[in-house]
Amino acid sequence: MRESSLALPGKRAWLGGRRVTLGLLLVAGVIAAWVVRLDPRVLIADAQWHQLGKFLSAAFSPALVYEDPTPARDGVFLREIGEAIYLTLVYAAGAIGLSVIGGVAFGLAGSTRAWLGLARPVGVWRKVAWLGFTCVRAVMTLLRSVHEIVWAIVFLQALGAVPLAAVIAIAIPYSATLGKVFSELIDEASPEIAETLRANGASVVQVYVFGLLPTVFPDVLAYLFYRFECGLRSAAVLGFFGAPTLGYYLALSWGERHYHEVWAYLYALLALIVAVDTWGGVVRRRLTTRSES
Amino acid sequence: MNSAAAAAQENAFELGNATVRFGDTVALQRVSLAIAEGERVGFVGPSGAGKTTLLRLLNASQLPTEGTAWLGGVSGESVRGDQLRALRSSIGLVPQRYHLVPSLRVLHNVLMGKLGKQGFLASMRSLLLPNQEEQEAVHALLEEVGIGEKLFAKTDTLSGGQQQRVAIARALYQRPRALLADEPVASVDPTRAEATMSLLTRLSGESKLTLCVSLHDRALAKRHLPRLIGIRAGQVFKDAPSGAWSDADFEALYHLDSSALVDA
Amino acid sequence: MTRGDEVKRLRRERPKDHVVRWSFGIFALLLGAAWLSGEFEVGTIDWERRWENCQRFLEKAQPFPVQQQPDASWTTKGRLVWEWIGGQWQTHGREAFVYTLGLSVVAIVLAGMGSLLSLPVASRQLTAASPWLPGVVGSRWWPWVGRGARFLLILARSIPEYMIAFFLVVSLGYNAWPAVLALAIHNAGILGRLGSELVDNQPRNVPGTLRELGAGRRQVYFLGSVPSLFSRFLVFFFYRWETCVRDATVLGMLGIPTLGYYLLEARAKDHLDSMLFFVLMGSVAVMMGDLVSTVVRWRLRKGEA
Repeated sequence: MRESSLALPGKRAWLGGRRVTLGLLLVAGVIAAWVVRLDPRVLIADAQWHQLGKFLSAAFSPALVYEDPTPARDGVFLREIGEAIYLTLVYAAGAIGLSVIGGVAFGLAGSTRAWLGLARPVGVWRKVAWLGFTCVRAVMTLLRSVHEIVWAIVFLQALGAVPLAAVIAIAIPYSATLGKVFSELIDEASPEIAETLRANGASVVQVYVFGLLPTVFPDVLAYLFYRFECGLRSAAVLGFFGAPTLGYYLALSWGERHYHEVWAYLYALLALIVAVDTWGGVVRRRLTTRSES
Repeated sequence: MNSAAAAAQENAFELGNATVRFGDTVALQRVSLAIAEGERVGFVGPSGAGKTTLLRLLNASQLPTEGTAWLGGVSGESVRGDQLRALRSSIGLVPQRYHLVPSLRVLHNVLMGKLGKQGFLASMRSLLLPNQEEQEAVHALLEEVGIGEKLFAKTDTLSGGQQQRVAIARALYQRPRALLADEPVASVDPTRAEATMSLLTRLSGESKLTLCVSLHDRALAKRHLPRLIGIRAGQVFKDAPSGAWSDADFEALYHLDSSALVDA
Repeated sequence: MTRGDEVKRLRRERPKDHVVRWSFGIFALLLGAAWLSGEFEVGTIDWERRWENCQRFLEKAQPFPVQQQPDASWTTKGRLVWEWIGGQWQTHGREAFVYTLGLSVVAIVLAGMGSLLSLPVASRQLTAASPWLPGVVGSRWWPWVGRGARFLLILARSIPEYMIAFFLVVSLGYNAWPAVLALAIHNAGILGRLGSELVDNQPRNVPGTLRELGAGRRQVYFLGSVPSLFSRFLVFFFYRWETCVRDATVLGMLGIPTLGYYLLEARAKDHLDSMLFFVLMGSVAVMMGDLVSTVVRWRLRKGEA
């Protein structure tokens, strides 16, 4: 069809046109809704909206003191919130600290460049390099594919309750995720810088450390801030499984139907996350500003 | 050592019937040329003719598929490992798009010129904690290329012309015997092209550097480079003092005949 | 002035980004301090018991038939394991696997729809007083719509999906709704933000020209932004679907019959082999989602280039 290709330059989007894509996705959604027996009548007939209404209306008056006049737990409510915030931060930071180490290791070991790009192995060595690369990638995918909550449950089962379990549970999938992003950044970094340094006489290791790492560093740092934000969410949720973070206290108050207390914890979590999100946004903007030349 | 090799030692570069193939495509075909120490040579010819491959050959970044390439009396094939690094390090390369690390300061980008002469730990020390002498040496070079003030500027804040000067300073910091510049005046305005060529010729004159530049601008080439080598379709088209290049020669060199279009 | 002094002066006056420096420093300090805080300290006393626990776990995590016949040959063991996997898959495995994937698909489609509606009102450019034509006096209230929408999107993505589902389960019961809504809300927040950033970072030429031709907000969005950004938005959509699969597995722990539900059930019964089976099933589901998403995103990027 020479004429039509002349009339319509440019490729047609894969997956067909936009309308076809949207239609296909909607059909997939409807089929999936049928598979999970998603019944709209539940929302009207069976749902106990007043329960949710009660909870939502408490949003306007978060608790500043314990709702129970004779608190079973002693101490000041606000101090408890402060402690919960502190521990959520500590757990998230501890996990991210571990994942930085793991992520850098995985990132270096999981990049195509590390195995094949810089040293350009030949013959049998090329096959060995491919095998090594595939193995590292497979391990990363496996670690990433198990949710941190599942890791936490497995560790709790195997080791019993240890504070370390929650931290390691978050750090394992996060290391693999960081490693994946990091290695992709390394692989996508400009090959010309590497080649130029090679032409200057730099060794493979020097090219890696001085040519590639500084090039990807700003993006890695920006991504780390985002992962820290995710880590805060994960740490808070692991409270539902016994870690002494915001989720733990939130679940306790929820069990006693102290919705005002729940909202106080929720606001604390929101403040924490919005703060890190904003901080990360500022850093990201400054790191990624480039001159227009 | 036979007499040919002995003669090769006199020259900065000597190619003997050098052919470079990438799979089925022939990038360079039986190229023979000799460039003496301290000579200033321009490579002219249409895009895709093989000028970049030729420069890579002179830098030992590319080995000839057939034929020989002597770089200052050493063949890239005969050495490997640290000796190969030392060989590459003795020839400075200024790539067309500069290829600097954008997130680092100018100082660090220039310091990277020495990587080929340093072990890993030494380079680590020099890049993380550059001492006063190193900083002064880099500053001197930057002043030489006209941007001394930019020693500590972040590289991605510099203009294109300034970045090119950083790339030149990086190549000079290698203390090379020869300087190769790949299309340093492509896509720049005439004033900057003139300034860049003057800078390169001045630098090569001051320290007796062999200079090889690939470029398209015939007037600029004739003004600054005493000898021009025309490359067309991977072969030497004409190799003569620039005074001997007539306008007709350039026309023929750049002329696109219909067969060339079909080949492309 | 000597060169040494000159270098020292340049070094003193070198441009520094204090915000980035301090942020980096504080961030690094935070990561280190967490480990020095002593919160993760483990007593050394009961490591012996923990080791026993661990051994017991490794033993009981083997498939039950293999536990029964520890002395069987490797081929017999292989056959036993294979049969056991078949049995697990038949009893609850398949059901939970399909349910988990289905849940993630409904959720991401809803999230996508929600974000397509919310991203134009959350975009800074589209809600500017006069989008892409800053010189013109424009609307006074659109910027406030934008601020409000961005605030709601921050809320939506800041609350972990697990918590949203946790709150909803009480009212909606142990069916797919709490999980679907939780995933949809959280991901609509993320997709809305990513999508609105796409619009805001769009090169000015297309929308700017349309504005100069006299187009209004809606026309610029539907004629200028949607066509040029659609495939890039789809890339984000599939990336979030991948994480939806991951999160759908654990939302079952709230009583919704995804893989996580059966995982906790097996743990409660102390059937650690079965528990491990569901862990691995979840892993397989995520890897499948990962694969599909990677292929689709790769094709989309290729189509765009």
